[in-house]
Amino acid sequence: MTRQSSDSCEQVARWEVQLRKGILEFVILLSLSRTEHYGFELVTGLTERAAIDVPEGTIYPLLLRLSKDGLIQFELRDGDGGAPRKYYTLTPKGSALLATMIPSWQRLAASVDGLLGGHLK
Amino acid sequence: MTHHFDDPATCQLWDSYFAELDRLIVPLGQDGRELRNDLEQHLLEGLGLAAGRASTPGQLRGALGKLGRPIDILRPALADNYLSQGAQNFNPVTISKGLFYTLLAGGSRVLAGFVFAIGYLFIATFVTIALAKPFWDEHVGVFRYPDGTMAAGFVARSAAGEELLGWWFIPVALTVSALIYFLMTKGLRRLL
Repeated sequence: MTRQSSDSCEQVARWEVQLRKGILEFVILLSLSRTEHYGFELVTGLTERAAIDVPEGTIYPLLLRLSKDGLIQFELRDGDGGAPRKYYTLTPKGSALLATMIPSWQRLAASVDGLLGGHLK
Repeated sequence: MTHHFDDPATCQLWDSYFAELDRLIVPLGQDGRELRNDLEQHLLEGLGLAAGRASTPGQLRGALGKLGRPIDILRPALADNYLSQGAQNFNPVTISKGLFYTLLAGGSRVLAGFVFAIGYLFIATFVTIALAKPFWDEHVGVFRYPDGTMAAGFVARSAAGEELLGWWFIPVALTVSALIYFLMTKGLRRLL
């Protein structure tokens, strides 16, 4: 019984990690749609405030890819006495993509909520 | 050795982490160097908020733990890099590496990566069967049975059927494999 419960906990943990990784791109675009962020601030914000519990370093390759895809852009500006910081913002292409992602997410969330409601009855 | 910290043990820990990272980023070129700078900056920002130059090995270990292992961080970038190269040079080794890292990286592209991996395995099997023809001539080919049914590939009950292609099976199978390989590899761009 304990072994079974530990297996299912591991399975849920793996599923959660995959789920979070899957929505990471959406969450990054969403964060940058509100205001600009520098790397450390964006990453710690996602992992702490948005409860996206993935290793912090895994977000940087994604930022690099989004930047190469022209969805986000960065500007180097002086930090607090240290090395220059990369301040990320959304590009018009990124804004347009986000505008189409939001209704998709809402539809998906609503349909899962609907199924969940039925399951809980 | 890094000069970011006063404590030699902290410096050693930092150097050991970045030595592993440096080894892994080699295939990434300029992107790898950019990622290295981002990660270095992230760590220094995080430690700067706490202890800065006076950071202890314990504090750095904690920060590195939150940052993640170099291989876990770099898998998606390595997958992108190898798949991008593979889609251009059609090198099966490069494509295999790209798919390997895609599957291990997790995320939204795992399913597409899995489908491509199965597709390439299918092609490899088809090529192997074609190349097996000289060794198992009577079992490899395209066979038609008296009841009209057909079978292709490595066929156990081949004696009852009539072989249609003969030695042409090898060039036909290899050409079809090459064509599917070409189309699939072009399709890899959609996975990128």
